[in-house]
Amino acid sequence: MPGKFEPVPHTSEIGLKITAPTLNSFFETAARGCLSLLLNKNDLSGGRRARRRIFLTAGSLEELLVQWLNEIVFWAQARRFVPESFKLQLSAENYSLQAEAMGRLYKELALLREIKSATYHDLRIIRRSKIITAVVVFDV
Amino acid sequence: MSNLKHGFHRLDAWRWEIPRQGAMRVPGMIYASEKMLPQIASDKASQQVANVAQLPGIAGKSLAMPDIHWGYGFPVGGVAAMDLESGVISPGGVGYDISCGVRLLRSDLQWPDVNLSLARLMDALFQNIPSGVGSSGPIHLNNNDMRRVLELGAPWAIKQGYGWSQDVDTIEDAGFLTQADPSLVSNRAIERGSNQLGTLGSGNHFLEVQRVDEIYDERIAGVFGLFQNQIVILIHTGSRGCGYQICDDFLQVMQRAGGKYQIKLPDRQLASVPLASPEGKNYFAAMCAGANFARANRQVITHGVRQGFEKIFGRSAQDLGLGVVYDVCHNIAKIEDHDIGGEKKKLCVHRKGATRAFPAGHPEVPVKYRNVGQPVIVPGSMGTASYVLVGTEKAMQESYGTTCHGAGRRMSRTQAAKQIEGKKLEQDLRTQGILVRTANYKGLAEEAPFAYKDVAEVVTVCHEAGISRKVARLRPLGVVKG
Repeated sequence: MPGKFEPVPHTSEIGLKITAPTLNSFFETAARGCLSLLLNKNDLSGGRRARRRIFLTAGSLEELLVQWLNEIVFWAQARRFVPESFKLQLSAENYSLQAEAMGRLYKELALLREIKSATYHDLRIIRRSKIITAVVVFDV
Repeated sequence: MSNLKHGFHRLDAWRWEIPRQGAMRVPGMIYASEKMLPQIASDKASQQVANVAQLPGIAGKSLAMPDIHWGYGFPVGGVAAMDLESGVISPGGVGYDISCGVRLLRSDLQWPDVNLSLARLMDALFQNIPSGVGSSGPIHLNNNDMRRVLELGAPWAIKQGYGWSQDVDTIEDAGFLTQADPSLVSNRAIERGSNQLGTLGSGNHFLEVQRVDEIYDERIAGVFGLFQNQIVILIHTGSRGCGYQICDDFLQVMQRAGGKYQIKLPDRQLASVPLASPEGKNYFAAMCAGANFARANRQVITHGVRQGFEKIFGRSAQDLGLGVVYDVCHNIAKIEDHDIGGEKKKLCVHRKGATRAFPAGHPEVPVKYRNVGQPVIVPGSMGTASYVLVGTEKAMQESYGTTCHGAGRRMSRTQAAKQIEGKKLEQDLRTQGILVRTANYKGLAEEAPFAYKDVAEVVTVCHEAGISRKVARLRPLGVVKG
């Protein structure tokens, strides 16, 4: 079962419900959901191939998720790098993420909105046997 | 007759208490009309007021202004004052957009002077002031210059030629906070802000050309330099990516440090550390640096506004009287003196979506306004009025010298964008005589006036509660929207 994301109502910010069968898939789906808030893939053209690597550690899975999503936000908004595919190695025991993102670097990027940050608001990653879910609220 | 309405205990027509219960250290209190209560009760904002009441060292009550709505951690419209020794500091009580605020410029022009030039004026302002998602400006700062901005705020910009020396006389804190420490600001925050000085950004940030259409207090309006039919300009923006990153950086620090100080929280976004701790002091100093960026940002935008007016009217900005009425923020934590039980105490007052409103005689009110009190600028939503208020002694006694900050949202962005298209909204506003300039029509739809509460009602509550008093109403003529 592939991961999925869907918008969740919030008065002043924007929420996304993320659902996926595995932790790796969950983090990748969350990244794709975040990117869907930032830009419309169909509006992208040109760009040169690029790759980004990051290693993150945190005190909890939720903290790790927020750091990861804020990395996506920073790549897109500050560096104009849009990831298209990911290789992720997650450790749920020591809350670390080794990530490689392959995508494109653009000279200019038309964004749908500015995201200030992914937030910790009501954030709980719920892990059941075959499904992992969470709602992430983004400050826009 | 029960004093309980929608779960709130009625203190009077404008004050509603959330009684202390459970882990709350103090009661909560919301300023609102009875008519507002169903909407307030329907989202989680009042729960957030109760959550804030659990923070260690909170003084008095956990407060919320009538523009309250659900935020994260603190509600938007939330106010909490903390004891400096036993209290905590919380980035959630300031917000990501550190020192987001408003600046009101005056002019000697009246509506008939700009009527025929308004479209060209709006074009000039749209060209001069970068706006929109991820907007970057013509000023690209290197690391050293950024750190100077973070240290010196608006005066740095004025020294570079972006303003007049007298502008600082009517900016909160004379345009910069002396407690700023740029060395505590991360390289990522520096990078995010380095090409954003002088930009509006997007979301609910805007620049409006307005007309003073009603004066409620002639004397105070005169002191503020306002008169009927006058053309004024309102700028709403903050610290851009720099401030957002400072908040994010320190939320991470506090997530990890909270356990060290054994602070139990009902909401992770209320992550806090003791004010007196190294982490607390560092956040405060970095937050002040972010605030200085915001003040410098609004200063550079002011320069762009003056240039726009000069181009269209063929006269100098000085000649046009384009001075600063006031610049005040609504997302900040300030160390201030307040009276608690007859004793003067230094407190750290968190204002998240709430505006300082100091009374006549207060030493922090600009000298030229000290006889009347501090101007408070309350922007409405697009197509609705904005207001100028004045601070009061009642505010000092009851709300740590605080009042509302704006209309407050009542509908999600997604819902608003479903109900109207940006182009249709632009057309509707034009029919009302309001010209819009934007490159982001989806964003425009998200900011539709019906997505916000009635600002007139918000201001009325504050006026009737006595925590600020109406001075003037401003009607929009043109909007630059990010």
